[in-house]
Amino acid sequence: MTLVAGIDSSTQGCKVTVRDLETGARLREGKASHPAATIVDPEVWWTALLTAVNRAGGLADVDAIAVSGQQHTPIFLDATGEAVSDSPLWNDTGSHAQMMDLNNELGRDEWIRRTGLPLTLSDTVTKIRWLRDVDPDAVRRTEAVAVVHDWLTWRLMGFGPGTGGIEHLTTDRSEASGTAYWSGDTGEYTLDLFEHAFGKQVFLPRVLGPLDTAGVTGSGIPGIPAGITIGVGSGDNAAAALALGLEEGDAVLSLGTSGVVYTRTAKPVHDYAGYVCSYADATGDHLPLVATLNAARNFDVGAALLGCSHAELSELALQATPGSEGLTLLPYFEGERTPDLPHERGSLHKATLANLTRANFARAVIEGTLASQVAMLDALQDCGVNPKRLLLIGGGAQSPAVQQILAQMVPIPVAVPEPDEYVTKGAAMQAAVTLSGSFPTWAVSMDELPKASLQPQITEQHEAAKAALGYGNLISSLQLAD
Amino acid sequence: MLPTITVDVGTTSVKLCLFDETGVLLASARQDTPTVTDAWGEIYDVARLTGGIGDFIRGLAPAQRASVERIAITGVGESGGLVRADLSLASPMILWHDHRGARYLEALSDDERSRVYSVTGLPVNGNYGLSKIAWAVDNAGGSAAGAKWLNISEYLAALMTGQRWSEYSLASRTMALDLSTAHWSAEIAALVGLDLDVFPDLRTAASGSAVTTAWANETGLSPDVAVYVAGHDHMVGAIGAELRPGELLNSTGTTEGILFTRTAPSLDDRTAKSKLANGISCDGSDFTLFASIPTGGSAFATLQGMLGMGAGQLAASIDEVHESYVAGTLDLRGVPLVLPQFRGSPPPTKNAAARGIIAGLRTDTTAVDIIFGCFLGMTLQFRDVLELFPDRAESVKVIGPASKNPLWLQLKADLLGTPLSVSSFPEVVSRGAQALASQTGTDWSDCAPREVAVDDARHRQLAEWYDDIRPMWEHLKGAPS
Repeated sequence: MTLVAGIDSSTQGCKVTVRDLETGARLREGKASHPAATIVDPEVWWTALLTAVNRAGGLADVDAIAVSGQQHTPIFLDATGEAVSDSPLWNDTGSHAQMMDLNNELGRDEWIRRTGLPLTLSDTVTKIRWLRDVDPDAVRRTEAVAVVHDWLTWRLMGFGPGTGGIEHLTTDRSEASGTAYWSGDTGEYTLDLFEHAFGKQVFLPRVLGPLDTAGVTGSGIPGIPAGITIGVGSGDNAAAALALGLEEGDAVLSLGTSGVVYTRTAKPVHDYAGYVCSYADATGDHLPLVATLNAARNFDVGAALLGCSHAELSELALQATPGSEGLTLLPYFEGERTPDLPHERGSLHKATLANLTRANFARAVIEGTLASQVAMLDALQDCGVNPKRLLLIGGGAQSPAVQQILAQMVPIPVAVPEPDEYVTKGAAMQAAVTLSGSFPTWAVSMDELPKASLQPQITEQHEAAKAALGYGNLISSLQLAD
Repeated sequence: MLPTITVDVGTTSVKLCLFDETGVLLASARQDTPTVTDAWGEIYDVARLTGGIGDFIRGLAPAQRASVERIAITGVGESGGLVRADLSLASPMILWHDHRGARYLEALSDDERSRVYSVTGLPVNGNYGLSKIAWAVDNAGGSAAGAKWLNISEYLAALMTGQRWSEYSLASRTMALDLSTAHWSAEIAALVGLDLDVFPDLRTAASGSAVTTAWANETGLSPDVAVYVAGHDHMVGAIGAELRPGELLNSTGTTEGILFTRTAPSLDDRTAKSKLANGISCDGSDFTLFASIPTGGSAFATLQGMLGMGAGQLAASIDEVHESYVAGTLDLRGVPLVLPQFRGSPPPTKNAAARGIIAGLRTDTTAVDIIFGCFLGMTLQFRDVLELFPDRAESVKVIGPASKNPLWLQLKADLLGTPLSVSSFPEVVSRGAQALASQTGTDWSDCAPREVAVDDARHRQLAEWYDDIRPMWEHLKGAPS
């Protein structure tokens, strides 16, 4: 049996799965946690990868690997391969001012026109500007900027602190597209944008094609033999899309810590409304994507307030009727990026003595969460992208209430793929490419949800609640103190 | 005073008490206010209501029963039904918050609405009796001939005495009483197509009638017992609390009441726009200015329903957050902002369709944060309504269930910057009813009041917090219903 391994270095931790090249079946896996901090020494990601590999039983019997990772998060390297500073994660909010500055300097629409990205504080370009602002000396020493998967791939090739070889850094289109200094139209870096943000040029990882090989593993890495081929790798959403076999007309709703909706298109999009990020995928196509800060974590909040488990939250929600008797939740517990309300917080509307029941509140939590996600489908449609089928994945996907309520909110079929580590699976498929020259056709089992009658009042209530708080124009002047 | 059985018909419960001649509470009982649903909404279950009163009286010790000289009845205003001369009902006995007659008011012009306020001292609203009377008369057709509109308290008195009359404080909640003449207004009644035949004779709370022999036999009371309609519960509470001019009565039941006594009604434009309710006091000698905040004690039920807490659990959480608040360890910036319009909005909007909002929810918001936010929001709402009054409170007397809630009281004192005098006696309204039926006064000190002092540091802290949240608070209040 030929084995391949996929690695997912995500925000929370690192996962490794070892799979059968023939079928994609998951044979073993290992996991290790990442620290909760949002500015970290990148070495923690390498250490976690080695731990996860070890917990997966090592890779001695594996023929190829590939790495997927959290998008955007940069690592700043000097000429010797040493990190010159800690790395700010994509979700570190310290770069908000830099996002504002960059938008002000070049204009919001210019970033969209050049890179397909409405600039957010998550994008790599805001992080490199952040470093320029907070640590100019580190910038002076920086000779290369890579994102996490690029850097881990490079480490697997045997490079690291003090080895030099930064010119061997590689990346893929999906990761490059999340930097905001790469163009989906040309497939090239927009070096002037990089220099504008960072103040100088440095080496940027070579962008490989979907079927390329990054290299082979170096020697002396615990648990990983030398000479294993390393696939090109990708960003996490691109890897999941690859594993799900996403076709044009499909959209994915991922209910994880954040909520993400993405689809596959042949061409990049430019959303001047400012919601859709035009990323590239792992196949050579594009992956227009919209994200909310608040998603499955909302269910944690709801369950905690009701003093119940997630299963009970789902059961309670299904006891209530669509619309929760008018009770409506805007679930912006952490602020929100879609719509752009970073300083706002969640709110519960239309509460009465009669409707403020546990069942209605539970349903309002789920309806409010899903209404935010469905609004992202609308944003895609506004860009001329009209999904014909929705795939529901992520930690919240298995909730019966989520499944039933979502089916009442969207007019297209909804399917729930079987639970799997789709990011590591996608990475494993990229590893398989290095052996076979093409992507494997691993089956994905999906359950299509029963059709339900549409309940438009759920979305209508959500929109009315947004209007009540003046969120209609998406930039609210009414902000609660943090 | 005279030994008295008091009946207090509240929104959610009926309180029954027996007081001796010194005002000592000898026996009491509480039952849920019995209601049923008809085709238009919720109405009183009269049989269960009267049955519960009879059971209480028959359950008293014979000696206690024999000692009774008065029955004093008080309760919610604005409720009522059509009662024929034989005391049969020509309409349902309608609850105070029922709006089945609201359509009779929709056609009133702005001028007519102004006229209603200048005559009756009340803002046009479907809660008040007038539109319900119009609905009841129309709905009864010919079967309403000779029927009179009685408030629920007045109806109970009629069943006991065979007499139909209306007490002034309750009559002044019908929106058909001319405040300046203390007579029913033919002009206002005509606005909804009524003539004055449907309105009963008026009496002060000091005027009672003897029970019928049949009712005396049924209950085991002496036929010499006299029945008095003490009046509207909040106004009767003012008697029980010995409320004086310049003092504010904050009565807390299912709803929360703000009441001043005055020597003259306040009928100017500002008061009219504020939708404050004028009335005649129970003894008919002076006037009241009143506002009702729909969400008062009902917030407890709201919180219990949402958070799935029993009453004891909620009380423990209130105590916990009160301790934290007083100790200064509670960070106001993390508290959700709650607009507690769970039963509609208070003046100046008085919109029954208004709804509550809880804003500022964060990932780390807890149930206790929401509880605190709810009481803080209720306190903000209370202050907003209080500021509508032309009168400034020299002191604040608090009666009702809130007197047991240390958090609500302390927040109120700290936010207002005014100390509260809080009754330790739970049945101030019933005591007021006894005093009215006995034609004697009361002494606030008999309620063993305790002071809730203002903490200057917390007062400043709340003021600073309010400055921060004020734009959002004002915005939430203006949110569409």
